[in-house]
Amino acid sequence: DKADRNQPLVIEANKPGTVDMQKQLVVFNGDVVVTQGTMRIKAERMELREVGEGHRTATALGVPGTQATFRQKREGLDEYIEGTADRIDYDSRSDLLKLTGNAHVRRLRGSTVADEITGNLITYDNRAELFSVAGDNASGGRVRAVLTPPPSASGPAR
Amino acid sequence: MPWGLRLREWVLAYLPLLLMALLALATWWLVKNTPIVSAPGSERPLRHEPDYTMQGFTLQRFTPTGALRVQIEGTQMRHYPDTDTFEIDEVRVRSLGEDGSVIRARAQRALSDGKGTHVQLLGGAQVVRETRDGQPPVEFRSEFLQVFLDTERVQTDQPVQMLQAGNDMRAAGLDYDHRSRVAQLKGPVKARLDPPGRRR
Repeated sequence: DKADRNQPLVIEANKPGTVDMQKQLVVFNGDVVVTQGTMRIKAERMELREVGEGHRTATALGVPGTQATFRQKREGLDEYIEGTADRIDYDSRSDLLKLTGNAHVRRLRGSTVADEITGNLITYDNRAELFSVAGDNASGGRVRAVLTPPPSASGPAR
Repeated sequence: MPWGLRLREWVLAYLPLLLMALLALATWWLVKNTPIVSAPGSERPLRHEPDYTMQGFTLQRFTPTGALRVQIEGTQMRHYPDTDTFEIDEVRVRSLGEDGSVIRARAQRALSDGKGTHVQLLGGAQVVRETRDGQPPVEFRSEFLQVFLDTERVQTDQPVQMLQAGNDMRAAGLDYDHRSRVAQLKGPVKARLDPPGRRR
């Protein structure tokens, strides 16, 4: 949610990492967990770059077999957004999250999956809480979205 | 000539020779029994004991052009001749680089080699590096830090904390090379970075 933006970023990893002060680049390895408020990104490798005025870009890379995962609570709702992809890019200036490489994003209401989107590239605008998904036309990528109406609209649930 | 006279004659003639012989005998006996003074200190193994100590000292080292290069302060310094090392208690070091960068270090105890290029800081060690290229200063904190002043490296295999302008990183070990400005952190690593847009 919105409050996440001014929470400190806490990162944990258990393999050796490097800090390059010349390029303002910090690399973490070994099941990296990044948490900022309710947002949490897990990956095998995480690259953090300072891009001035305190803004950062983060690149989370999974490894074949374990994708990078993303999870965040929605603003003021008991809903969570969960996403997995081969690679997750986050830019704190534009507050945009890009999931590339057979990406799945699910919106969970409590524990039930409300919407699910799969595609090659999914971008999630954290500020406007807006999804956009694109298949990769190279392999005629299809986009699949399963949207369930909010329970209140569908009356007594099945 | 009666033999008594001949004997006296003989004794008188050879008396000086006899005396000389006696004297030679005496000196030979003297040389034999005098104790050999051990050679001055060279064979004795150097015991690990300070040959000089300084209390509440300030030591300054200058470049040939006269600019201050290193200033070391401490409550007590002991110099060990056998290993040519210094041991300093409550040390505070300030080292100025040609490029205007400043290294400040402090610790409860420091071990340094003779030339002062390899300093081991023990106990609450802190090294702060300030550079003039606008980057915020970097601070390292650990129970043991090795500082190599000539190759500008900071190393430790103990848990270490690295602080830079609101970024706080902890690792199980560190190898920082100031020339390439790259720090290798030994896992596990835990970092806490300031949120974007807010500089403490």
